[in-house]
Amino acid sequence: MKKTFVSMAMLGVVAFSSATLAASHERAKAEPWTPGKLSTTLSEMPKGDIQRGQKLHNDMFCASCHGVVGESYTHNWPALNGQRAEYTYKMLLDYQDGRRHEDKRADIMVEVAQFLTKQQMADLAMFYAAQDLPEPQAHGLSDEEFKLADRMVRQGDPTRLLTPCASCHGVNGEGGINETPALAGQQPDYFIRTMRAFRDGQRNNDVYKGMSQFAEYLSDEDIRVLAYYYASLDGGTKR
Amino acid sequence: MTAIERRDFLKLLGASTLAGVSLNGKTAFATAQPHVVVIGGGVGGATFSKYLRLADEGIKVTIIEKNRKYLRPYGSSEVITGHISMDDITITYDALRDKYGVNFIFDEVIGIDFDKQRVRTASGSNINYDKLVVAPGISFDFDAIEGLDQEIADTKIPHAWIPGKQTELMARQLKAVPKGGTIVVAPPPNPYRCPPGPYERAGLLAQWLKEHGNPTAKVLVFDSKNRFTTDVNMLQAWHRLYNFSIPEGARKLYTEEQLATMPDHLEPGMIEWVMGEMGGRVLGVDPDAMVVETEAGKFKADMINIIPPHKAGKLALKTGLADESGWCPVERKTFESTLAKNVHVIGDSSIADDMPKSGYSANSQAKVVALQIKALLAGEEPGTPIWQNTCYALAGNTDYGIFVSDVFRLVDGKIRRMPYQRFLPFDATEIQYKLSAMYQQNWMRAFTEDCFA
Amino acid sequence: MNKVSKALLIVIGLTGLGTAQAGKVSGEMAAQTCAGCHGTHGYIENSAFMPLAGMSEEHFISAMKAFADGSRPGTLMGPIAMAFSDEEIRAMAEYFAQFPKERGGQQ
Repeated sequence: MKKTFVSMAMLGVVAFSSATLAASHERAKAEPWTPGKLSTTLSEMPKGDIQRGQKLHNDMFCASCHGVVGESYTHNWPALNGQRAEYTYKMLLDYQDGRRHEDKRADIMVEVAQFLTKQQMADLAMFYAAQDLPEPQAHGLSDEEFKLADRMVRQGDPTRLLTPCASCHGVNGEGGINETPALAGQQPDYFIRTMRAFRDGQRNNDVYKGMSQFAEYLSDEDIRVLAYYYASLDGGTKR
Repeated sequence: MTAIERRDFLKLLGASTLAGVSLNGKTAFATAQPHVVVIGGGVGGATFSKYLRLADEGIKVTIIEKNRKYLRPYGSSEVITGHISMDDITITYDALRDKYGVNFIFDEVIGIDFDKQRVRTASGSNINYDKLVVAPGISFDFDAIEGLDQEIADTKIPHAWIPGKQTELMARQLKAVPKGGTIVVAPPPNPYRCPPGPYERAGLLAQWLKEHGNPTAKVLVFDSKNRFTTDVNMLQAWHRLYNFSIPEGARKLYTEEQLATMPDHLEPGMIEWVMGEMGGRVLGVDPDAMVVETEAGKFKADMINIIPPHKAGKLALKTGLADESGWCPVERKTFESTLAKNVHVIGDSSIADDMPKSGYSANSQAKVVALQIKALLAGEEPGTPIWQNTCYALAGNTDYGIFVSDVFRLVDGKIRRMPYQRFLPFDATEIQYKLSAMYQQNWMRAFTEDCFA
Repeated sequence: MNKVSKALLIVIGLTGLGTAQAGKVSGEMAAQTCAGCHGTHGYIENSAFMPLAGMSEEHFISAMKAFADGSRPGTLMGPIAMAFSDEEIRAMAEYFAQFPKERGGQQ
């Protein structure tokens, strides 16, 4: 028998407050990140609870857009399942403080992030991290294209001072140090849009231009082959 | 041939040298092409034309419309409160013409010869049709309100239920409301276009007054009705936002537990809803004295917005497509008029049983009828229809959105709403209202694109 | 679902939607109702609503199922998904899947 549609009791998640409604119109632009600030923030990240995170994922309607386990299944926004907790946490903070605002969809996240406390962000982050990474998809690249992508990922490109993507994002696209995200299985269209946003400046929530300094040198073709390359990875050993 | 028809004819000749069918809808068929004429370039007429062209580029479609641009009524209350401008609600027909190959005749229809299957326009043209779609929207029964007529509505007591000069008038009037002043909003009786609309407007007005340093001003909603679509959500929202106390007659809409969460406010609220059973029905207005007469008595106000009872669009009434009810009876499966063969009436003017009169309904009916007419012209059986009405509204505050969501099917020859939850639940959380408000803005864009772009 | 809706649902279930109206709703007919939010043919960009054009059938069906059974909470997709039969959902999935993800070359 189908469950009654959304007959959830009030959860004490967020008491109805006109304060929140008022606050959403004024948001001070936050200071850009520094490595020090990021390091402190991540070390102060509350201990997240997967179960609480799942409940929030439903109650805060993350599931409505991002799917039952964050899988999204649309190029309109990213898959969240299997994403590294620190990265998800940082993204939610970036939305809340308005650091990330590259298009109308990011604006939606900015609005909803106003509703979250740091503990809730940590809970959500742990929930997504506990999920399997998205299903890899066939990359459909030619041998040449695959080689190009693979070279950039594993060896970089000294002519453009590009360090290997893997040095931050992991050899299997599983994500790496600090807040660098897992890329394995990510929606290719979302990847392409994101890299362009880093390259062209609409997205600038990376620490000390950590991503944009490399994105600057990538052509549309580079970005495209990388997108499909990463979409075909499975992240290596499942956590 | 008029100048416009000649141009189209030449276009067709030019296109006939192209091999095959292009994506622009200019087909290789210059003769023996079925011609569907559409009267009315609003949501219904526009959506129908686009979708018929998408379904079959071999069919010629011509819209006859009085105005060269369309002012969208849905969301137009936000112009009154300055949230958006008249430009924001102005829509051109360029995409319909250029992308989908819909022909346009900007003229007024003065008559329809149903036997000869021909439309006559004010400039003297006669346009033949194989099928005619009539989507003339609504007109107003000013006679039902003593002291109200078209001229007074245009100059003193606007309804602004069709956007235009009256919308701009209301925006000006709003700015002139004095501290502690009174605004009257009088929603029409059923059936009317956009059921939650007048109440959304009341909320928007209250919000504007609040934001512009006039929290002691009042919005009085004088209603002949005791219920309205989204009332459970709307009254709850007003309780939260505008110090609204649930009137006695509305208490039965809620359970005891729910009522306990909405105790009467100590201060009088910014909005008051005078229900039909409390004498809210408007009998007349004195535009000079600015006095509204209701069954409950006379009330002086600084700004009066009376939305008169509706009828089918003037053209439908003039050409005999409406019955005694003032609305157009149609065969439900295809919306073909029961009073004229090969004529389909869609949108607000039509009698569509459970479907409310709304933009989304018009859009939904238009799409169904596009497929049905395609089938009929091809000599095939029209398919089993299904309709939807999904639409977001604001409770006043632009962070507080609510919605209606319906799916309809043909059941025993009538259009019936499927029995699933229509509205946000009473215990919806703040983020749901916030999301709904965001969806409302997105919906405006997406919906407008689906109809006109 | 309140008592009245349940009763109505049972009545409709007993009479059978199939008998109340002849014939099946085609994928195209059903899918058109989505366009007011999700765009014509399911094309929509940079919006709060997700595009449906080119969505794999599997993903479309699993999304509608998840909305209908409540495992994926939303604002109004729940009741909408519940209003369509499994067969209609399959037909809609097929319909949307046939469109290329990108509309004629534009992003």
